[in-house]
Amino acid sequence: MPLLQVESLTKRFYIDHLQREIEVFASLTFTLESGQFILIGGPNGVGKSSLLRCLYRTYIPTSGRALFTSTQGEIDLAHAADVDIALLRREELGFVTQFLRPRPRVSALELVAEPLVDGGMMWDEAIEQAKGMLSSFGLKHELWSAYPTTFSGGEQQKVNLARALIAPRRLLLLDEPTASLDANTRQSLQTRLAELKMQGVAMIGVFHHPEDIHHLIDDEIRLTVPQKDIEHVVD
Amino acid sequence: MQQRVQLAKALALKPALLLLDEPTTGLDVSVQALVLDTLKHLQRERKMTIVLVSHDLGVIRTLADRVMVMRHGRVVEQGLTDQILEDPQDAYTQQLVHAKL
Repeated sequence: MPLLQVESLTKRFYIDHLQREIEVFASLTFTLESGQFILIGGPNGVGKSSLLRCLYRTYIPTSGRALFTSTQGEIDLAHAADVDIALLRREELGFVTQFLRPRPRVSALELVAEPLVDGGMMWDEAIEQAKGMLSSFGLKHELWSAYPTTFSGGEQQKVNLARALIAPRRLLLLDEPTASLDANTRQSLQTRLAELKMQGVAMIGVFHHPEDIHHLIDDEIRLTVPQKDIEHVVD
Repeated sequence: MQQRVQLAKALALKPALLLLDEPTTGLDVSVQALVLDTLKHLQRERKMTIVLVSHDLGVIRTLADRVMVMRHGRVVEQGLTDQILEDPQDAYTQQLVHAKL
C-alpha cells in the first residue's frame, strides 16, 4: 500500500463577498511511496502551494480523497476529523515553509525543541537535539538563547528549517523552503533532506529552483491551466 | 494586576481544564507576552486542556489548536486554527478574518 494515495482531489474557494467560486486545481490523482520525493511543478498560480495546504488540511479540499497510511491505519486527509489531523501533525505530517512565526520572548532553542516536546520528549533532551540541529543549519552560537523576533530574515530561516525538520515525520510537505536561503544554508538543507529521504521519509515539494534538489527528485507532477490532466515528467 | 492574580489563583490548583475569558485584554504588551508564554508552557508540560474566549486573532493563532466561531449564540464554523484563518468557509468567518489588520 502506498504511503499516500491522492484520488481526484479538487479545490475551489468560494468567496462570499464576491459571490463567486475560484477553481484552484481539479481532479489530481497520484500516489507516493515511503522515501519517494515528488516535485510539484508548473507556473505561478496553478495551485502548487494550495495542493500542499490541502494535504495538510490548512485548506479543506472540495472533493476527492487523500488516503494516508498512518501508523494507526489508513486515514483520508481530506475528510478526517480535526482532532485526528491535529494528532497526525504532531507525529507524522510536517509542513516546511520559508517563514518562521516567532513568538515574543521564546528563544531560538525553545522554538526548535518544541516539536519534540509535543511528540513526548523531555525538555532537556529536546534542547540538546535542538542545539545539534541549529548548528547544522549554521545559526551562530550566541543567538541560540536570543529571541528570533529580533533576527534577520536569513537567521529566522535557519531557525525555521531547524524547527520544521527536527522531529521525525513520515510525510513532509515542502513549500519553497530554499527561497531566499544563502548558499551554505541551502547546502545544509539539501543534506538534511537527503538524510531524511534515506530514512524513508516521503516528500512532496514546490521549489522555485528545483536544481537545488534535483538529485532527490523521483517524479514530477506538472500542474497546468486548466488542470484537466496531470503529466508525469520524470519517472 | 487583578487579572494576573486571578490567573495565578486558577493555576495554583493545577486544574486539568482551564477556562479563560479574554485573558490578555487590557494587559500591556509585555505582560501579555508573559501570560501567553506561561499558558503555552502549561499546555505543553501539564497537558492542560484550555478553552479560551478571545477576539484577538493573534492570541488565537498562538494558543489554539482548534477554533469555534460563534455568532448570535450559534457556532457558525469550527475547524483547525490555520484552516479557520486561511480557508474560512462561512461568510461571517470570512468577514472576520479579512477584517484583521
